[in-house]
This record gives sequence, C-alpha cells and structure tokens, in this order.
Amino acid sequence: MSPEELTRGEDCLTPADLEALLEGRLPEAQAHVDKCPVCEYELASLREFLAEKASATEQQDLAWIEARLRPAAQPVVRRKWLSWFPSAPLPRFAFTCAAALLVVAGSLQLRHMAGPSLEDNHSVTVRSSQIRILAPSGDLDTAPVEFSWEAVPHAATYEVVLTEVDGTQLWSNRTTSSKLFTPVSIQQQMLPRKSLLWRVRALDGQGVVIAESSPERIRLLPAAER
Amino acid sequence: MQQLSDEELISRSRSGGAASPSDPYVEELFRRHQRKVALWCLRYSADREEALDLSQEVLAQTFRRLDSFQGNSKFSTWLYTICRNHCLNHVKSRAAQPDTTGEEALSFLAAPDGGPMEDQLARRDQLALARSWIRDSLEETERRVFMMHFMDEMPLDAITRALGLTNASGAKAFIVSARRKLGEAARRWRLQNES
Repeated sequence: MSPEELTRGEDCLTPADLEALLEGRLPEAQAHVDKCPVCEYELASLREFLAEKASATEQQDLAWIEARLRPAAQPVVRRKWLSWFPSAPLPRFAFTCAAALLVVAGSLQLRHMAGPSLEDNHSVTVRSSQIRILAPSGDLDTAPVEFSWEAVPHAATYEVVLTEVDGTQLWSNRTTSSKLFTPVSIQQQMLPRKSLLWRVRALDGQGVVIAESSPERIRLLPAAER
Repeated sequence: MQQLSDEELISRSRSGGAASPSDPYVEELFRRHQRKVALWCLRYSADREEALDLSQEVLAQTFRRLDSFQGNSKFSTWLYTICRNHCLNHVKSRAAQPDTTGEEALSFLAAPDGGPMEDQLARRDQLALARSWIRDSLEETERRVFMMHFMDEMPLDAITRALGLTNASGAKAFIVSARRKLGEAARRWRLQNES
C-alpha cells in the first residue's frame, strides 16, 4: 500500500470540491478537511496557488520571469511562450521552401563531411550505467559486510557511495579491486526497514568516470521477517 | 473583455473553432493567470531561469489542452492541477531517485517493535489511524513537509525551497521530528492495544 493509498480515502475531496469549499459553496466539506491531512494539504496548496502572494525575496525573481513571459516593449499582452505558436497559419509554400532549403543544405553538408573513420585510436569508450552490481541488493537478513560488482576494463579505481533515499550521502570510499568492505560504523547505521541506495563508479587513471552502476536499493529486514 | 469570467473567455475563444494563441480572449485568459503559474514554478525551481522554462512549459501545455477543459471546475483550479502535476514531475525527474519513499512512510507508520500496521488492521482502519496520527501528532509545517515528501515524493531540498524554510537543515528537520512523533504515536497505540 502506498502512502497516498494509506492516507487518501474514497471520501477525499476533488479539486472542484476544494474550490467550492474555498468559495463557500460547500461548507459541509470543512468537516472532512478537519480530520483529513491529505485534503488539508491539498486545500492549503490550492489556496496558496490562487492567492499568488509573493514574498519580498520572490518579488524580484517573479518580475524577472514575468518580463520574459511578456515582452515589456509590447503594451498588448504577447508572452514569450505564445510565440512558440504561429500567430496565423503560415502559407503552405513557406513550409515547402523551408523544407527544400533544409534538404539542399543537408546534402551540401554531407558532401563535405568525411566518412566515419575506421582508425583505432585506442580510446576507451564505456557507456554509463554499465557496471553490474553483484551484492548486496534488495532485502537483507544482515547488514552487508562488503559491496561487490563486476570489474570494468581499464578502470583504475572504483568509488562506492552509500546514500539515504533522499540523496543524503552516508558514506563513500575508493578501492582498486571490485569489492569494498563495509566499515562496522556504517553497518550499524543500517537500521531495519530503512531503505538505502548504493552505487559504484569506475574511474580511469586520470580520475575520469568511465562507467557507473544504477543505484541499488538495499534494506535490512526486521528480525521478525527474516 | 475584462468583465468576462475565465470560462466565458474560453467559450468565446472557441466560437471560431479551435482556440488560437493570438486570440485576444486567450491572451486575456493567460494574462490573468501567468503570475500564479510563475510564482508556483519559482517555488519548485532551483533558480529563476529554470522557473521561467517551467512556467513556459506549463502555459504551453495548458494551451494545448484548452480544448479538453470541460468546466467541471473553474479554469484557475484546472490550471492549478496542471501546474502542480507538471512541477512535481519536473522535481521528481530532476531528483532521478527510485521510488522507495512509500516503503519509508509505511515503516514510519508501523509499530516500532512488531509487524507493520497493515498486517493487523483492515484498510479502512489503517486509513483512519494514519490520518489521526498525522493530524494529532504533527505541527502544521511538519504535516505539510510530510505530505510533500511522502505523498508527492518531493526531494527534501525541493521542499525546503518550495516552502521557503530558513532553518539550518530545512525540510529534513521537519521530517526527523515528524518521524519521531509518528513513532511515538505508533508506540502509544501499540501499548493501548496490547493492554
């Protein structure tokens, strides 16, 4: 069950209901809002949006944005985003000419371009997210004593990073092998039911990242579920 | 034209077929609401340049979907749902983190020394219990931060910006205190129900 399912009930209010409540057309909905944190939150968000009340620090940025959404030189409203659309249907021949020009220009460019080189320059090209993680992964009975992954050709060092799910870094270390032992202090931070993420990056001799794993979720199971 | 409601502007813009962005009724409609969109996007962005891009995307998306507006709510409420969803998607895609916060929230709402609450209660009871814990245990800002993080799955730094939190650790401090309070509420509930 997701948090939203856990907290949002079938009796929760729709945006139209929230609007009616704000405007005094549905006062009976207030009783539900008083007991429902989800609808209280949704109502506060809608009220905040409609109020468009900017703080002093927001005023400057807001003025900057609005000036660009709506060019100041024009007294008649014509926002920048509107210019993404043609104000009137362009004549068909204009599109035809543009397309023909693109084809001609593209052909000329291709003529002057060299073909793909077959020369081997011995450079290493490794796609990101290529490191395959071996362990740990998923739900665990005990805190992992080491992190391991498949070695990457031409990697000089590997960097392991352990984070909380919100991105807060808990620990990071480097190694030259394809595994890294977990310090006891870090094992102790792995509390039951608390999800953590770890990832590993491979670096070449110059310290350039040449490959990276996807973030791997781990979670220590509580004793009752092992 | 300024006396016309938003819904009347939309209706008139449709009178000649599909709405055009250069239609004066459409221009008036968006002129009225672009500040709301810009301010909301500003709160969900790292800087004003990003907020500008986000605002333009929201306005363009709203225009593209204008034909599907059915008037079940006011235009401003409809715009709010588009703007809110677009900003949330933007924040979540920028964070690029897997969705594991749901499990985290459930573990907060679980009894600390036993099995998860959902093992013991029917869904309807879980709902009432979760609502009561959140409502009765948390302060207003804690509730807001909790909902943004666990229901909307917003990263903590984005919540700190969106709410303009000025304390040293931002939204994280509110999550920590919410976690503690909900844990205490769960413990109390367990004690009462075991005795």
